[in-house]
Amino acid sequence: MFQWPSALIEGAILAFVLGALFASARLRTTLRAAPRALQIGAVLALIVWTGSQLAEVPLATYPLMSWHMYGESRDQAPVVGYRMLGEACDGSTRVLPNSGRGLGRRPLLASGLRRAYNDARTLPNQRERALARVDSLLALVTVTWNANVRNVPLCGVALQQVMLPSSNLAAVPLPPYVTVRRHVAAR
Amino acid sequence: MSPRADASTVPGAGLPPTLALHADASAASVAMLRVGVFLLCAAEAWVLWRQAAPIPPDAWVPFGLLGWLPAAMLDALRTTMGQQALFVAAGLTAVAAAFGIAPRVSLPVATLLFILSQAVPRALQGLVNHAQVPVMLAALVLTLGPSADALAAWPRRRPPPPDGRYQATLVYITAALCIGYAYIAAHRLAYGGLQLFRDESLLQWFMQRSLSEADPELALGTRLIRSPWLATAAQFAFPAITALELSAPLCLFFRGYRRVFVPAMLLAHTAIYVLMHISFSQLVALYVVFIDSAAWSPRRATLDAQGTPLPLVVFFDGVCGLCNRFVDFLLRRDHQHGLRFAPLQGSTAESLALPTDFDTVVARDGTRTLVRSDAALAALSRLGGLWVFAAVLGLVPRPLRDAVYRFVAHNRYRWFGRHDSCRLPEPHEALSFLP
Repeated sequence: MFQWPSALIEGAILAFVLGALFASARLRTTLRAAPRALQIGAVLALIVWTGSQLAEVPLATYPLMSWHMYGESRDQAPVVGYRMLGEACDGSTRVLPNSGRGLGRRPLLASGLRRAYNDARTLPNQRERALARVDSLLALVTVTWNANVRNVPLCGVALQQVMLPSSNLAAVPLPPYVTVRRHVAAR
Repeated sequence: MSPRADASTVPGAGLPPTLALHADASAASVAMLRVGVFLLCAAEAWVLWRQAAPIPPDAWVPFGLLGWLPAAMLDALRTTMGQQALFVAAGLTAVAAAFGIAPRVSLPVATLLFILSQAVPRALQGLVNHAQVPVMLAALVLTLGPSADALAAWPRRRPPPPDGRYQATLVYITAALCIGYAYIAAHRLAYGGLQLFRDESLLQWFMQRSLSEADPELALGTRLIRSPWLATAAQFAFPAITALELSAPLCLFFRGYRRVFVPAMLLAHTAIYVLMHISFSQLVALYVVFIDSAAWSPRRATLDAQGTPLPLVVFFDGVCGLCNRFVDFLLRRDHQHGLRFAPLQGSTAESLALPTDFDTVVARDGTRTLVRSDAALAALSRLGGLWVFAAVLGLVPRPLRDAVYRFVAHNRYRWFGRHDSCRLPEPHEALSFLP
């Protein structure tokens, strides 16, 4: 999220790095040998990319956008994890892998599910819509599993959540997972 | 830059020298990268076709450039058929761009479709994997640059005379990669600050990923957190990697820095993959631009005083059966007449004071003399066409390549026979042979 003092520091760091980079006559001579279209395209891309980096534009200018790879401290927010628990029609349960044959080798289903529930949890104004996404994806997980693993059909899938305190992780025992959303397949 | 920075000398009178990185890049160098990048795009499209679609219409939200599309196109993309069509189109145009089929159309369309198709799975996840972004930028640079001058089914025009535009194209891609790393580090320092390196944020991210595993206690991320030594090492590595990322642009100037940066970042990306299952394979595939193009592609041909490319002269053991077969092989495929041949026992070799060791083929490129595997690869890659990819073997460390070469050379008479006298050229080959 955009913050003034941080944005200024970021701007200063980038100005130093880019300034030092393009101060090199060798580099400028090398780059000027490119076709004119490439030179113009590169300058435009650099302006958009740097602008969206500084203005913290996360998505609208994708792929030239702000890069946030592990860039901000998590503070005291608890560590939240999710897993999918499959409920077989014979009453047994199993933790579903994030990918593999059961999900049609589509790891995006699991990550999309986690993301949708996280949106429901953290964005109150989008809660209903995000929960609808969760239900839709849970239904898709059930259908995909039953199409790929026919000997263990699932009659339901639960999304489970676990929360850990943010400090002293090395010593914290793992608490039990709690079901936060459940989908029951129509028989 | 300091005097120790590596630089190429004198492209023209009065001009400052250019960078040493990719100084000998040829049309084939850029075209080879084009083939690699767009085949990578095609592979991504195939993976997404299998992994992403169909995404339920109500489960995804417009993402990035997708949000800019007209509503009718967006509605079409929400359907299974629309998603499949996008991935198939992205894959097919990427293959066309890789092989230079109608490059004026296929290159920009493949780049655009690659960006759009990458946005589809992101629309489900609501986040981005940055590993694809440098590939997109590389595709963009290759689209705007002279990448279709070689290895193209229907090139844009006749290849222009060798100049610095090929080096510039590769340097733009390298610079984009370096600047991307610097952006990541700048954001981390500005927004995370020292606090980020002191607190447990890194370990918390490891734990967050581990909690999604079937058995979190067995996950490598959890094991690292539970081990005081490994956790401390990770905490120290975090600022060190950030410092490397911030100074990534130095890779453009210093070969020594590249030798530190590339292995360190490969190690970091591998560790992140192992601990957090976040793949950077697309990004790492682009790391070839951190290696000078002379190591993995044909060099720019040396020019004579009139600006005409000089042929590569291949000196061979005239009485060796294997060497003669190799020469025949090259002769049959040298449609551009870029090679000349001379026996090591002949007067041309003698006048150039070449090595007297007949156990190696020698290639003379202008004033440069290449021996053993370097010479063989230079000769093969000078054939043009897909033979330029022989130069990729130059990425294998020279001691390894030469060890294999020496082994074969040592046994060549026993395995392939020996002639009593040097090979004489047939009348139609006379122009290709020197005494």
